[in-house]
Amino acid sequence: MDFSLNEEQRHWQQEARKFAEEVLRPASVARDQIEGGFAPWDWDIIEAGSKLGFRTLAVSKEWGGPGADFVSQAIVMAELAKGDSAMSKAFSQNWKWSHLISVACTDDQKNRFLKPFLADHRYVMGRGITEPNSGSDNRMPPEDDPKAGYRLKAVKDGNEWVLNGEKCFIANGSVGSLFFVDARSNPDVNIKQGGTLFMVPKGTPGFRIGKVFNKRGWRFYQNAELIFENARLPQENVVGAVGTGSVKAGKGDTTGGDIFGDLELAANALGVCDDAVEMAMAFARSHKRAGKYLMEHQLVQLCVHEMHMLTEALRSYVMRTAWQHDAGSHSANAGLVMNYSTDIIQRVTRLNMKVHGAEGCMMNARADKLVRDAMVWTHLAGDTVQRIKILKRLK
Amino acid sequence: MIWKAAWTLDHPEAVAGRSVSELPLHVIARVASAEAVHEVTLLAAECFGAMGVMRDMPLQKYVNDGFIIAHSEDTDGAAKLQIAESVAGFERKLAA
Repeated sequence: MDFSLNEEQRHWQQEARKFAEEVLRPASVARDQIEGGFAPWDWDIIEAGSKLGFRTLAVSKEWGGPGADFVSQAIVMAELAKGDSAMSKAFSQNWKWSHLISVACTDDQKNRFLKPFLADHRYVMGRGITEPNSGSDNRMPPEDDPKAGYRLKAVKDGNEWVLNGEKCFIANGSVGSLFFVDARSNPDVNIKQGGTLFMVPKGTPGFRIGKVFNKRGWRFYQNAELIFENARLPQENVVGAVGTGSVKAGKGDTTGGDIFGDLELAANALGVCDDAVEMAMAFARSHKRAGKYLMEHQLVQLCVHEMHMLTEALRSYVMRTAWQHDAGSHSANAGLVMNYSTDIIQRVTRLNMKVHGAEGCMMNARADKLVRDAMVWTHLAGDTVQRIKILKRLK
Repeated sequence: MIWKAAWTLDHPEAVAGRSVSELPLHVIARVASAEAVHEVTLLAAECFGAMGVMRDMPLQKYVNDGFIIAHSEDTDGAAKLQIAESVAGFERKLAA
């Protein structure tokens, strides 16, 4: 087994580390502390990262992107997340849909959407699945139940589709230029047969942004409502075939959801754990309690030991899973490593807060931020549902 | 545990008469309740799905309050050490 990085992977690691240290980290707590849902967002950070290739990292070289492999993507996500987890996610969110476009979209769609995405540093993307009354059941719907899953209605009108309904908690919702939206083209059958995937660009008549959510963690990252009121889309904006559900519409490619998405969260968590470990070590070596440095207290030693142990185990699992993706060997590990990362990030950030003692909770804004960011993992992508769903991949 | 710790503080004679243990029941109650608050608030937030992390909802505040309880006075680890020392009858020398 060889864990060494090739020249290109090393290049991305160095670039991401430098950007995280010089741009993300200094802005991290300041942006996090800004009140409001949209206000913590900063286009300058996105533009600066985009100029270095972080927004378009997953676009293939064939279409003019950097075409970074999964190992590079995992490394970049972790390095950026060490600077700021939410900012890292704002970049990597675009990679999911870069994967999907390259695999599932027609050349016409690539010309219309991938080219402007590559050209505009402020062009970010998202995916609208979740609705106020359908979240986890989109991911694990009861078999053959037409009542389960998303309900946003899509009705054919000539060569156009008319969409009505609402999506919520949508990533990059308030800032996105293009959304992949799952809609129900046939409400009488289950979502695998009655679901159709649409590409909805900003400015589509009848389509607007609603509320921007004000979260406890990941405050820089945007989640918003998407509202469709007789929104009209051309037939040419349908991804794949009508009535095939989102996975088949993506030609079986699930990198936009299950595989890349799972790795994405795990790699991001790794960066947060690295940050927490460094914080705890620095604090324990520089602060005294009861006449000696914290690091000399066995209770603190055990905390720091556990933090290192769990973080290194997560690193091994993340890199192994990324390597498996590059090798085309898809397994249950993508899902398992995401669930594992949920447990680890919450434990490690909590231990960091513990090492900081009372200061960690009430006075150290970064120790508090890491715990708040980590809490988001439980609520992302239906973590508990994914734990049950992953059983199907275990043989 | 909270009731027992409170009752014991009101009745020192019960400790003196060895009806109730000499352990620091108030510390045990604090640690046990801090851990319960932490676990229960996180589970409650999870039940609310994405809304469990929104600032519009009180749940994320309860989670935050849970952290503050766990970090009040001593941390959980230090408090557990105090309990363990009491169980073992160990008297720690105070730092100079």
